[in-house]
Amino acid sequence: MDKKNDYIVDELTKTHNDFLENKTSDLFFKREKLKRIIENGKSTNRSINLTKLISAYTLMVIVFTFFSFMIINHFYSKKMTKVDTELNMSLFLKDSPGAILLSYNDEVIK
Amino acid sequence: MNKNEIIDKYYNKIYKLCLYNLNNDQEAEDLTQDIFFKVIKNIESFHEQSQLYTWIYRIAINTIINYSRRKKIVKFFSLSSESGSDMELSDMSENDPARNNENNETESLKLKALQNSMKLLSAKEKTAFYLFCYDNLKQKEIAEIMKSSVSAVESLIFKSKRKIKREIARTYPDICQIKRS
Repeated sequence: MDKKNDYIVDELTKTHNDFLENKTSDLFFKREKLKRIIENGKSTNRSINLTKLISAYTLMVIVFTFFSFMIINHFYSKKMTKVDTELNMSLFLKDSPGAILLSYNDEVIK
Repeated sequence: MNKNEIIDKYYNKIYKLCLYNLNNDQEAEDLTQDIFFKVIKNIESFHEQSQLYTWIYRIAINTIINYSRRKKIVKFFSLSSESGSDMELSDMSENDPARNNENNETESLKLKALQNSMKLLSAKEKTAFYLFCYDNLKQKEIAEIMKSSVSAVESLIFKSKRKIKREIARTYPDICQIKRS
């Protein structure tokens, strides 16, 4: 199959080359424009905007940080509240947090 | 050779190389402009160790590869695709009214097939294939431009031709039949 289709690549390449040659046949104005630009020393390239890329990255980092904070807050807030309560009660009753927790569990069981 | 002479001599070739790689008139023009800016800026560092066109081609190829990488990243993060429209393949016959519609369709199909199969090529394979088949450079010159050995260039050209052949036979069997008949 490969050998049978050997000519195809040459044929297609020739067609494509003609197409490109046709596209590049009349570039006088573009050439002159480039000469003027080089004389002025300023590039007018506008095809890729790096500022856009940097702002996209920045936005991505902000969103990621925000959601990370929300997730961490969601999972750890309940635990922290419980620990805080036990600690406050232990300070108030002058007992250890463990003992407060045990007496609380006893009350619940009763 | 002064700046204007360099532009006059190499503009068309570099523009064609950019057009081949990017398939977009506007992007090709912008990139050609960038390449010549680099060439003019660094012309004093060129010490004639190699030929001028080899040096210019090397700058052009590196710029195109960097641009394509940046384009991929921007495309990934960009919400809109506003980089401009690609070339219309049907444009090829507009300037030649002698060709009939059937020929236009066949040639458009051929170009589409070739462009689609070229997507499978790596940047190096695509460059080597272009310099050999479109610019008719010798393998030694291509090796100098790509900073590799002649055998490596030979291998790249062989691989790219094989990939294109297989892809066309797989996806566009009609083209093979058109040619045989």
